[in-house]
Amino acid sequence: MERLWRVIPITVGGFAVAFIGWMIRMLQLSWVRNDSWGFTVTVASVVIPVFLVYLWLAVYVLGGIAREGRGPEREGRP
Amino acid sequence: MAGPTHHAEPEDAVLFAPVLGTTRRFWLGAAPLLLLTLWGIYAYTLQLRYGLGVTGLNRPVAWGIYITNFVFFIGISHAGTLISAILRLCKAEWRRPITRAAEAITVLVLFFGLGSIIMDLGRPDRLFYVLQYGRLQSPLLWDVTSITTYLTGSSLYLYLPLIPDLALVRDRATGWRRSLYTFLALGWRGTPGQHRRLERGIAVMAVLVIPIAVSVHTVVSWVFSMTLQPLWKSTIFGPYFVTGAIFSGIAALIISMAAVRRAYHLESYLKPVHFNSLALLLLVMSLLWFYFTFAEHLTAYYGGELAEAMVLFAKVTGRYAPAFWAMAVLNFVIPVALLANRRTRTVAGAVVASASVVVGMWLERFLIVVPTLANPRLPYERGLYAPTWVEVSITAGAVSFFMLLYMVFTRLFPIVSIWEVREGRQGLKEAQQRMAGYLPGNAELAPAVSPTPVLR
Repeated sequence: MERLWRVIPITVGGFAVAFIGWMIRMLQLSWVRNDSWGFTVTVASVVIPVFLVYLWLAVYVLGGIAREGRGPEREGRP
Repeated sequence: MAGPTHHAEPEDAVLFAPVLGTTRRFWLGAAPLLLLTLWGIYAYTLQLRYGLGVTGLNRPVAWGIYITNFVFFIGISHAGTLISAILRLCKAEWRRPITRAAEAITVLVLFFGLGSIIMDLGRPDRLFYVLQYGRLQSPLLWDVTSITTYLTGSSLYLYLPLIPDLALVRDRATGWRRSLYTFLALGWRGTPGQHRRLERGIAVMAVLVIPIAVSVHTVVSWVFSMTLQPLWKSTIFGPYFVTGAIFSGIAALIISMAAVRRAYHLESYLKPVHFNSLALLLLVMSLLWFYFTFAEHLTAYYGGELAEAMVLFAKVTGRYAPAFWAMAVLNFVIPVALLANRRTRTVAGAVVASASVVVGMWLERFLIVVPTLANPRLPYERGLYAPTWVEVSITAGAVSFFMLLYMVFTRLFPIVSIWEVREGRQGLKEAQQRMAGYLPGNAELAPAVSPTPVLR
């Protein structure tokens, strides 16, 4: 079960990374097509920091709680 | 992982009871909702098979009750996260038993907001085109972005304060429930390090989620107001939508609180004082909603621009007049009459006013979407729109499914935040000191440190 605790932080973090990746892709497409660059930069500059906070939550808060939740007899340790 | 070491205080036992077992009463309540949901799914399969021809949508009325539902559901979602975050940041002590119920509404109803958009698509498979070929010049893509941000943030904001309660339930549950809560509780043992991380996370999210929530409904309003359509092109649409959203959200919260209070005998947690406080908020929002509605319609009337006047008179004296005046009565006359009077500002009075507001706000959303499209500015013929049984069935199915999911949520998770209630009990002295600190001449009584958290 202790290994399963990683699933939630990894899922949240993975989603945050995927969304940031999509935003970067939108920026790239906008640059290549020379289309809606100003709008894309504006939206990305707001959304990417928010998802970086979600990533921090996944790693520091959820990941940290799960790490501390493991007892001294954690799985895979002698 | 710690074993079962803590025994519920007798008064908290009522909070654990719904989570640790399912009664026959629950299934009896869930069955009709499930049937309605299945009926809605059947109607949707017909729409998928035969296309949007089975709906009342047409040219020029391309948006009907699906988009009405979208705006309505997104509005309801403001109940939770926004109210909970503001009350948490203000350290409003009366928030403690109500935050969970509010946050759960937000997360669940947001799915139905997104779902309404999918219902409105004749080819839902094309939804992925938005992700593949989207252009962020379109307000529709702003919507996709802001709602995804809000849904993710609200889910995290619901989950974080749930973790200590999940651990409490884990230590009492058996069988599959124990496995579920052990997984979801992330090994919560209430160590100082875990407390520190959790409190930081909740604090950051409480601050972050407020501008996100406000931006979501502002962006929803921009989908309309960025066009040149009559009565949509308005600079106050953003705050008007946000006000309406908080208004309908508080109403939905009061109804859900009354339902769980009655179903799970939570009278000692959800007290008349909580309903009184929320009813006063509802009253304020009703007055604010009236102010915005009046300002919006007066400027259109006084300007007298032809296209705007046609929409305005269609609403006020024409085809949509019954809905318009019903909206005014339901959103303003009834709530103000009931809630401004201390004798009728009871639990029952608040529930009646809230039910009135929920219906009234749905009508308001309908009256924003449809009359403008039916009376377009461009030289199209004027249109008529009446929803078909398919649209009505899908809407009924969506509402039933939302209620069913909310019922299931209350059976899986404590609907009152147990650790926050306990923290409140232990923090009474700190609250007294804080209140004394607000008053002149009592600065020395203001607390230097936060109360010890009671998470286990």
